Amino acid sequence: MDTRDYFERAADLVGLSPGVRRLLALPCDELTLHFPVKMDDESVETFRGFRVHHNDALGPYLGGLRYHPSVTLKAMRTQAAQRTWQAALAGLPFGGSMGGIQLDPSRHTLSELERITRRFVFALGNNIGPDYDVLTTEVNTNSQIMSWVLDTYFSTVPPQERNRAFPVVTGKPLEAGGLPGRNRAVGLGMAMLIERWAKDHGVDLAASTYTLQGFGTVGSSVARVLQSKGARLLAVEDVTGGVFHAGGIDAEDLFEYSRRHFGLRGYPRATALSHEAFLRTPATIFIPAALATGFTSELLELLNVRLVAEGACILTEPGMDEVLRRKGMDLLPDVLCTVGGATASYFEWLQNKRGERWELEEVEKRLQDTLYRAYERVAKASVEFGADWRTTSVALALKDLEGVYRDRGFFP
Amino acid sequence: MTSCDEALRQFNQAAERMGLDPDVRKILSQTACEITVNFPVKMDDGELRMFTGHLAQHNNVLGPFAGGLRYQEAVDRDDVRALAIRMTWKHAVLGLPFGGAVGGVDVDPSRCSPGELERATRRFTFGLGGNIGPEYGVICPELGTDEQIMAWILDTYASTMPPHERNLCRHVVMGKPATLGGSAGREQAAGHAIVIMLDEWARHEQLDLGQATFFIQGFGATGSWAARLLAERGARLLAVEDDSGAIAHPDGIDPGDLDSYARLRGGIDGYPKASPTDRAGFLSTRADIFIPASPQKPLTRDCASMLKVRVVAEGADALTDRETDALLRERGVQILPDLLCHSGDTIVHYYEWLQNRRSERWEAEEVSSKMRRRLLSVYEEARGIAAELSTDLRLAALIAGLRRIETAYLKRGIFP
Repeated sequence: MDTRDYFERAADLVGLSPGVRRLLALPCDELTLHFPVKMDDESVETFRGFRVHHNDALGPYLGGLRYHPSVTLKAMRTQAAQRTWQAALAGLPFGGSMGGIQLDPSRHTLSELERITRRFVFALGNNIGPDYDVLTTEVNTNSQIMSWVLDTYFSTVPPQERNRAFPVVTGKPLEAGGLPGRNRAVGLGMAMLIERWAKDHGVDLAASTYTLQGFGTVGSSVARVLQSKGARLLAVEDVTGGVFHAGGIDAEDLFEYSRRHFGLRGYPRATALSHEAFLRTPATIFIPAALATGFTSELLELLNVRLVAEGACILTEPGMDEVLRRKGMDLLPDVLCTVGGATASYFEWLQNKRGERWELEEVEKRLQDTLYRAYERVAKASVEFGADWRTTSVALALKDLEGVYRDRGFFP
Repeated sequence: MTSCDEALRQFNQAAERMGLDPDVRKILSQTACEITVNFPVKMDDGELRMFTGHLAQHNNVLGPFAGGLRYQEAVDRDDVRALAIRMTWKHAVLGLPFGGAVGGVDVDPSRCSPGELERATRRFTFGLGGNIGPEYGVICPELGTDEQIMAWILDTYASTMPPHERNLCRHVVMGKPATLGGSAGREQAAGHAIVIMLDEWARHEQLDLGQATFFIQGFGATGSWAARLLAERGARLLAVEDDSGAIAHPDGIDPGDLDSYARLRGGIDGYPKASPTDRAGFLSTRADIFIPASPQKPLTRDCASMLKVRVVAEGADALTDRETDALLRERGVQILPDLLCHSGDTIVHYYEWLQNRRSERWEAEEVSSKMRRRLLSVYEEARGIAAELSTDLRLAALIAGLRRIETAYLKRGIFP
């Protein structure tokens, strides 16, 4: 997912000063780590992990921890920049970072994953911290892994300071300082923004239909929220295949099935369909939420929806947004659409810093306030700039960041 | 083949020969950490320019990461990785409590004003943040950097520390100016180490250094001090080459006098008390000892085939590749390898670190006698391993270092 193109367009749009443009085009720093881990059979394997710190002008770095074979420095770099724009756009006091380990977690036992996680955190050393770089759940990492991160980080901190170290990770289990609703915050946030878009466009969500690509944490949680609002899920696709049911697929039931069978393939209460048929399915909304969406301009032409709500970026090549515009499809770009995750991380971080426990209603209320503010900012500026929503979102972030640099100047 | 491949080739050869533990081998064939920092610097014309610097930290099982920082145009991660690997070995071979790391900033220092260089240095130090420190990652001068740059690094690092800790962090850099805690004897150190090695080699060979002849490639601090210390012992300097040219005199050249001349003229070319010679003439000088001490001039096969000497004492790192090495051995030329012979700076940097850490100042005599004792003991150790495994001194020295690292890992185990 190369976001550089949007960066350049957004920078042109706001007339970003050449110095700040050069600065924001590159990450502040990036780490590649190799670390040894004892496997269950007592042999030692070395693993490769990364952490990219894109920019911290607005506050500590905040970014995910991803466990996947496709984790590379380049992929992490793009993601880290995206996190910077997101935090700035939503007014969160954070900068952007991203990291991960190049591995296939399904090939390791739980105890190996624990040692891999602990050794990676140990290797990161001073490069993470509650007021420096905060980690959060991402692809293939969950609250269990965040607990190990926390516990390992704790053991490197003097006893008197350990309780202040809780906010070094977010997405923790509730008992370990986690936030109610954190694990489904991305999906919930997407559903909130979709609902807002529907309201603004006179669309009745309860009478709407949608299709969904990817059924991991994000995809399944957005589907479950949309189901509670009455929207009908017509088709879903994941790496194992696609399924379709004109009368609507029960997201809760599908979630149970996919958890037991490691994928959607063979789901009995729907019919199988090809990738092309999946893309052609007419619906109100299309939600891409897979790690690799594999979109091209040609495939984009097949879509027959009013709104694309990105849980994952599908506009991977320059000019693809032109296709959307020509076909009259609205876009909630991922930089805006998935900001619920970073927002909930901010709440968890705040909750830990203040030594508080928040209730789910409070989290949801504040999440909606934050997301609506970001949405309204983009909606208004998009008209003002005469630009698409993605470019506008990044442009707003760049303007905020430039303001900070103008005021602070450059050391030394 | 990249410089990193060559370093790993030597490592694998040593690992095979010594039967290095396979887990330790896996760990040592990769760098523990590589950091790339992109940092903004306000240039003299008011423009903001982005610079890129890298720091490769290879291994720290024996002690803090330590090694040089170079300023060189187009330096990349592969370059610093290869250098960092070699630093791990060198520290281990010499029995110093340091791991290996090397940094590099993509900048041509000759094209920056002192102010720009200072701001770039400070901003890079700031960008490295917690990845350096007196007990974690220590920096010393290398290609394109000097004691002034070390002083800026120290000043920037210290100003990020609380006031009562600032004096505890002088040893975050080595090769500092003497006023900031630099060690006595540093300037001579590289040349001195070569001469200590040659002294001991001559003793084993039953050669009288007082009657020996030698010639030198490179006449910076290393070459000129090696020449002056050898001349003190009575050895005769027959020829010298530097970037400006080559000179020779069959009765010997006075290195002290040549040094004064070269400092004044910026090179040895035109030195009146010797006659000019060409590269082939220089390399085919018939002498006992050849000291290559110019880091930018590797010994090629062609060079090696011209040499008519008994020993090559390597005064710079990684000058000799596998082919040259084999050719020299085939021709009966002995080699005092860089890991042992080009070690003076490294050893004195360790003494500087120790002095800062203990709030002490050592006299030059103390530094040089300590260095002598250490070098003799590691030379002896390497000779022992060479005899035990019937291998050459270069491989033997590396094996001595790898054995220390292996023991450390096997005793400590792998956390968690």
